[in-house]
Amino acid sequence: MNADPRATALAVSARLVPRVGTRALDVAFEAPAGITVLLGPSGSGKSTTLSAIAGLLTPDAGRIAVGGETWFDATTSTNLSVHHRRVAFVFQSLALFPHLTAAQNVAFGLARRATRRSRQQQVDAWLQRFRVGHLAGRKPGTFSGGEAQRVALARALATTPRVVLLDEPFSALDRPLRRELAQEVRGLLRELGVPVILVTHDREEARSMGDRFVLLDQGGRVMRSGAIGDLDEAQHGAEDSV
Amino acid sequence: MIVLSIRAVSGERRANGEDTAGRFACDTSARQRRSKVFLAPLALSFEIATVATALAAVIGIGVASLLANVRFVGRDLLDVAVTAPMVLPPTVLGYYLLVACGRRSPIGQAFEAIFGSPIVFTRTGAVLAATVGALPLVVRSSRAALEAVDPTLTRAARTLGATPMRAFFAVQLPLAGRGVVAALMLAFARSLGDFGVTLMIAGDIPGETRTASLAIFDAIQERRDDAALAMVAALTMIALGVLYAVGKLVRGPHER
Repeated sequence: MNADPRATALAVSARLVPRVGTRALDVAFEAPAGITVLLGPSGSGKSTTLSAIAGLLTPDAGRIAVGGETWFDATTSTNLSVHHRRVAFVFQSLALFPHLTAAQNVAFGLARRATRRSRQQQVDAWLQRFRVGHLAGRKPGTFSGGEAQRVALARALATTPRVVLLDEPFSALDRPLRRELAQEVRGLLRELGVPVILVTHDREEARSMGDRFVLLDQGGRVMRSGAIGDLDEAQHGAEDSV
Repeated sequence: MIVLSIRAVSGERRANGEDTAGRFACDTSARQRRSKVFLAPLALSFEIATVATALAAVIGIGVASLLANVRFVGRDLLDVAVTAPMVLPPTVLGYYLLVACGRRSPIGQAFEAIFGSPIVFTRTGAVLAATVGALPLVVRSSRAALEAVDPTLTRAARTLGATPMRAFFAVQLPLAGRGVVAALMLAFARSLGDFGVTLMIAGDIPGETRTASLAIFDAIQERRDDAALAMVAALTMIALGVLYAVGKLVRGPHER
């Protein structure tokens, strides 16, 4: 947890040529351990950037590396498969598997070589860490918004990820609940000691959760980035320049 | 056996005529045990349809998963090829299968070398005919059911360390389950009743390839109306029963 942040940092540079149904993207930024907030107007490529980092889509050019490990490099045709990248991805829709219980959802991402017993213990520990231990045997159809949120986070983080990608994970919740969960999750995310990319529309959420920010413009380019304290200034600057 | 099939085909041509001289000598012995006349073909139909449905399930779900999930060159061609049995005349389809799997074709010879019996004019041929007929139903309905599963769920499975194979079998296929089961039930009903292609490549051999639909044809040719009626009633009830069950299944509470 106290590792040199550079040893775990995520370096992204990704370019996408616009095609039918996709927009242009041309981003480059570094995200050390801690929470980096990814901001920008709708259609600026925030989700696309997350997909590229996860390996769910292949950029036309660029390089994606975590620590010393290269996941993608267009010049050497390196492209690590999604299932080998070890990213924790929490989707906006949460994407809990409706046919599996909360415990089975969390167990899905755990190493299959682990014994059943140790897996069971990990599942219980993660559900309890997010205070949803009581949901273990239930299926997602019966969860409230906040409960589903917690199970989705537990499932993603249980995989001992190298990078955590959160795509507006709190957007479905009302404001008080969102604030409560965000504060709770913030501590857990910091403890992991890996880069966390949080996509959000909510400036308050960005300020309260983030350590750093990356601001994208309409054309899918990085407009500003820096420490979270400079966010207001950067956004005012951005509005002035429009 | 080739001769037998030609007689069978010519029998089909005479379907509306008065000439029933094309009946087979074997029928005389079959007629002696009345119940066997329609129970044996029905049992044979069930056996062939079961094997054919299993084969169509493996091939059809495999093809459907490719068509639903993978973009590749020739995808549209594959789609057309597996759908063709729905629109091609059975005689045309049967002709292609005779050419492809006949005793002098590479496939036919390889099969005969391994299993010791040819594909055409055997029970294997009847299974092949029923499988080919059922395949488009399995592919089309399973593909639709697979495509209806939220792709984000498959993506989530991948980020959780699942190989594409595991994401398919653990997430996409179970969630498409109802649609796929409905497809297999339709496929079973379809393979139970194949007539044209079976006649073309398997002939009408009592006890071997004379399925219920062929036996109905023969019974009518020979004016054995009650045998025909019994099999007609049985096939009708099975087909309508399957349709009813499929309708119930597809409209179920968790339809996605």
